[in-house]
Amino acid sequence: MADAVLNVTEMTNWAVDLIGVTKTYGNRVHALRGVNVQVGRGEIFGLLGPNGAGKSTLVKIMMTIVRPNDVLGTILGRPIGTRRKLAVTGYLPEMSHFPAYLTGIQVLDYYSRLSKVPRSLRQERSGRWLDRLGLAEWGGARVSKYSKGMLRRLGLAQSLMNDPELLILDEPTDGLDPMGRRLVRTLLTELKAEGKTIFLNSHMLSELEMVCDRVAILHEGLVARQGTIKELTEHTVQCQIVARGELESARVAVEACGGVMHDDKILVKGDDVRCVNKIIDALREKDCLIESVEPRRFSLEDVFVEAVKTGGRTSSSVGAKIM
Amino acid sequence: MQIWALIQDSFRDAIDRKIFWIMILVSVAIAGAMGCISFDDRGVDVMFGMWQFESANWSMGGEELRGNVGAIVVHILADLYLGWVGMILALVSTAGMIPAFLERGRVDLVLSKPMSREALFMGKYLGAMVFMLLQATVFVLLSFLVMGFRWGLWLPGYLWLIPLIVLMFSYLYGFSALFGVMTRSATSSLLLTLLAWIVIWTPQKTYEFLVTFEAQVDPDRVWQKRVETLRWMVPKTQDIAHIAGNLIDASLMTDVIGPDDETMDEEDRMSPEMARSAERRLADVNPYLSIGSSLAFECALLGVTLAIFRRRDY
Repeated sequence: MADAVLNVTEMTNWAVDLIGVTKTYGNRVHALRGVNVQVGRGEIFGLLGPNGAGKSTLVKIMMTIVRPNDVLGTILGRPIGTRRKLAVTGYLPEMSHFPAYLTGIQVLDYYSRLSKVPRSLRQERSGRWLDRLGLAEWGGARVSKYSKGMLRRLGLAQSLMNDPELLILDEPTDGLDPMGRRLVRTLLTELKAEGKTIFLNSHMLSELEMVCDRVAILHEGLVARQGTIKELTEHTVQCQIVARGELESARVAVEACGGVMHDDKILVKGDDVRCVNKIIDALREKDCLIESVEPRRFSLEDVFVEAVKTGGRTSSSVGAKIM
Repeated sequence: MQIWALIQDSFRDAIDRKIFWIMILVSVAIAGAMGCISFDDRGVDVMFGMWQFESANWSMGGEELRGNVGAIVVHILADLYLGWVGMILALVSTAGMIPAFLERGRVDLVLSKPMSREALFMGKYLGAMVFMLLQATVFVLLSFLVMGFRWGLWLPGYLWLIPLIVLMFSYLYGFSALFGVMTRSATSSLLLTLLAWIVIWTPQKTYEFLVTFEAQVDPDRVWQKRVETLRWMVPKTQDIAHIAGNLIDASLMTDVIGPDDETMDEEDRMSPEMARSAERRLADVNPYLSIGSSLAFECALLGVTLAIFRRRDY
């Protein structure tokens, strides 16, 4: 009966299903205050948040490095903390500190031995990943001679050595040059195509926007927003009107229609065309010259900034769905 | 596979440290210095005939001279490694292993592997033991072979030093591991271990003093009993040196001087002082009880260390 229950649990569509994750350091620092995060199988999920939001703590709880005060839910269908599932989970910490006395190949061999990867596979995979990440010529060199970017790529190779079902990467592009970042993005897309689930923890918003299917914004230990990038940005349209002339004389009318004046620009929140037209009429009435009218959609960065400013409260400008 | 990977990692860590090679070099230098000495009927030859020390006082033959000088040398070597110098060097070499293992960015990686924290810790702990085993083997084996080939003095009992050195080291490394986990600093771990060594050494030495001067100090033996109780509670590092001395003396008696040598009586086989000393040690130290109780303490210490390691967030 118990096995049947476990099998059913393993069949769940969520690769990561975290409910009510709470972590308090000592009695004062509330790093996480009941975080709920769901990551579907085969998707790339991005976790965003300002420094100190609790991102790394959440990742460390998933990897059993930090013990939560309270948590429910599963990772790959098993309760959090189940060591068996760590064998099929790859992890790149925010800061990888490899023993300086090891070469690149020895690093991959050592950590994959700890992940119970058989010897024949270790040799084949270390060659493959070193080559794929542009470190083929450096495999025999001690890691003490590696640059920061090379160490990052070696860390990524290390996380892939056990052919993980779930890949958890904490700031994977930190320290990489633009070519390295592109390489990582391409790799992540390929891994997704292979059916792997990827959990990214980053503050490189533009990059997350490029690769993630879904994101969550963590702020002060709580999920402020969560959803697909489209969901988070679709209700964030605004219109920007640039005009010349005596704009101040039209201020009352502009603000009555929901416009906000910034020097020669007027921002109209939402996508209500009637409001925009009323503002244009008011400006024309005061003999102002309209130079441009542009619809504008919020970027993920705008959503992020808004979420952090409002502390996760939904504002009229950012009406994302919260799961 | 996982434990072996950790042990191998510890070994790589050890040989990457300069002090490892300094210790090996010291062992080779000692063996080399011993190899420069040889014995003949007239006396001692140093540096292959460069210096010869003859003495009318040495009225014994080369065989006996070898045995007596050999006895002195093996006791000096045992005291060297089982005493403060050898153990401090070993502790300095290994004090950084656990703090380095617990460094941020390194511990995260190993803790994320499908391996229990207990197994991870024990892998690193055993790695330090392997390091010590290697050092002890090089030191003892080299000097054993030099004594055998150069002096014709084969002392199988001397090889007991290898496990005894590792055992003595394990008593102290238990503290080093505990402080390493607690402080995550090699320097703090080393200093606290040395402090702990002094703390556990004090009741042992006090006990020895009270036994020697029992009647003068405390006729009722109240203090001796108290100190003895305390002594039984801590790892008995002093006993290891006594046990090693006993085993070496026993080997000297059976393998060098020979138990069936009818030309010598019991007193001739050992100097009176040496005989009394060995007798006292044999009478005082029950190796099974001493080692057993010390290992029990070490296990308890490891239990505390593991409990801290298991509960800590990294």
